[in-house]
Amino acid sequence: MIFQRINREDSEKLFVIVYNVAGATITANYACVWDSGASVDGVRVTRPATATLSLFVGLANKDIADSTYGLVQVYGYRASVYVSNHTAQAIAAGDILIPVNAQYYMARSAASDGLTGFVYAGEAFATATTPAASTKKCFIRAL
Amino acid sequence: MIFQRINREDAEKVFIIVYNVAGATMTANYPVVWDISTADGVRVSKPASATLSLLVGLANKDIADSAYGLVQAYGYRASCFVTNDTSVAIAAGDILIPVTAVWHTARSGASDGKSGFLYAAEAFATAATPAAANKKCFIRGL
Repeated sequence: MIFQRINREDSEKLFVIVYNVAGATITANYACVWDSGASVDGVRVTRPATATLSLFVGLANKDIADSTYGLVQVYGYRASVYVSNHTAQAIAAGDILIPVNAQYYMARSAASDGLTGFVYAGEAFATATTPAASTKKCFIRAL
Repeated sequence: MIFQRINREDAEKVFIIVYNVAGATMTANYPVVWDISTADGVRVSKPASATLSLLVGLANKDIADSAYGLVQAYGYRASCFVTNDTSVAIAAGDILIPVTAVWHTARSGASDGKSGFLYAAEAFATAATPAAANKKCFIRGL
């Protein structure tokens, strides 16, 4: 685990080291979850799936090639989370974001409620007729 | 980020450094949230409807406006500024949440084992005229 050295003008951040078993590169800012297969060990991570949405780990700090180790940010402000907008519901800063089955992007779950969520939007993201994922600011609370 | 040195007789605690942009002093034990006007993970402010889930923790000591200070983000704390209620008492273990436009926290629900960032560590009886006071709590804000 890596803790950013104290600097009062930088945001505090925490990272964990993981091993990518997704079968493909986990690109920077993508969401990843703990692998829950037979070899579960708290190091292996993969792409979100229906059964593993609550096993969210954090956001890839940089690209992590398949079958290699890399850093995932698990706490603090991050200037870029890969998130999708929606046709009818805009994302507001403070909204709760969650991983999505079989996708690397996150999506809005609900408005801020003060007691749930691991990732929160740090900026707005307008609706679109054809939703598309993009990188936006966020806060992570997943340690 | 500051981690209290290991001492088996003290509670483990984690603190982070923040910058107060609330426009007023954040008194010790007040809940603070991340600022979203110029989000940078350093600026913090007073809770608002849109930022209730952006709870950072509880101010460790008074933080003057436009100044840096410490916020406790994890562990036991002997004092959380929390309000009671006219009809529902707070029990130890209950979930506490920040409240829009005020500096105190309030009871959200009973312990459910799957949600909450702040938890009461002592009871707080009802009152005909609720008033906020400092009570023991546990913080899980990381």
